[in-house]
Amino acid sequence: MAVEFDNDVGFEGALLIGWANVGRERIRCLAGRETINELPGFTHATAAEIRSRKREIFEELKPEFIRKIEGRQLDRSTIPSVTVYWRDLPAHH
Amino acid sequence: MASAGTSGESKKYFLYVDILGFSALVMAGRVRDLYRRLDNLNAHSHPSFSTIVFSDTIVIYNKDDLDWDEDDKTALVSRLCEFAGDLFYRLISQDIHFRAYICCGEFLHSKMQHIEAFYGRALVQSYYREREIQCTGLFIENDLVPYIGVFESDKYDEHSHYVHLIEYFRQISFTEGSYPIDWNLIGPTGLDVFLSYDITYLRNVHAHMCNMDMTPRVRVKYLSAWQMIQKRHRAILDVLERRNFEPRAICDMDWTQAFEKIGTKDGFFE
Repeated sequence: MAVEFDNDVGFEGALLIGWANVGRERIRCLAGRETINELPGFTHATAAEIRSRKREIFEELKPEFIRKIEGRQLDRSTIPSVTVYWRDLPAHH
Repeated sequence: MASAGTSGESKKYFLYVDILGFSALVMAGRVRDLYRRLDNLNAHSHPSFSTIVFSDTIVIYNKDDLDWDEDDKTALVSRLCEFAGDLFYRLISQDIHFRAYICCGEFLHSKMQHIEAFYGRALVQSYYREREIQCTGLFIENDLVPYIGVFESDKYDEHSHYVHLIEYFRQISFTEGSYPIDWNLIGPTGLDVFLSYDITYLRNVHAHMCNMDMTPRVRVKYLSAWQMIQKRHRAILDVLERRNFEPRAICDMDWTQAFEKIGTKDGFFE
């Protein structure tokens, strides 16, 4: 089933938060500062920089969210969630 | 003066929690276990938030002061709801209840030379609002309701909404006459493990609201909580109350293991 994403992307200082929809299931997509700082161009990005470019960052991470959702690698959480960690990024595979 | 979370008296998204019946817990020697549970809250491992625990009060607030947009506010406020939900589930097995309030306002927390200072309008506002509310559970000021994300709320009074922390009933909330529901809606996904906590919580609330040994002032808080939950899950509450909280009224399956684990190390929330 296709993974589709909401347009809303939030950032609260440490975590980037978006939402994916797989059929009727809604899955929260999370990435922390540590992961974001591994992305090219964001190595030393401050919280304010991440906040202002959060949609661009989320776009970059979408393939990893899709991979985790399709692999059912969900977090142990009351809200269905997937978290992309720095070790999940292609450069660390 | 080194800051412990903020450099000025800036606006914070703020969760204030009051553990109810704290004096009785102290007298019964149950506070150490309570504090162990508080020490394991998810909030401590979240780098965007700071937590202060003092006696029966817990305060959690966001650290950064950025130019938050609507999506960010949802991320912040829904996270505070999640922290409250985490606490809620960790306390069910102990039949410990709280009243919590989420608001946004000025707050300062800083380490001085010899003491830690924390003060601000958000703290004062939460303190007074929380005491006005004659109910248990999580409440949020009206202005922040649009930011609760996946959580559901219902109007409590002219200032605030009640936020529903019961998580798993949502998946089996049907109309009256639907219960007991088919095993396939619970068994294959292991939902019984989680539902057993929701049922235990309701049984505790019901026991307190009907306990004539408690003062009417205390009983009414639990009755109010029951009525707020009823707004979303009337059919489930009715069927459970009628069957004296027998889980087979929800689904005719073996619930023994799920309930036996509650309050033990093997329990999902202990």
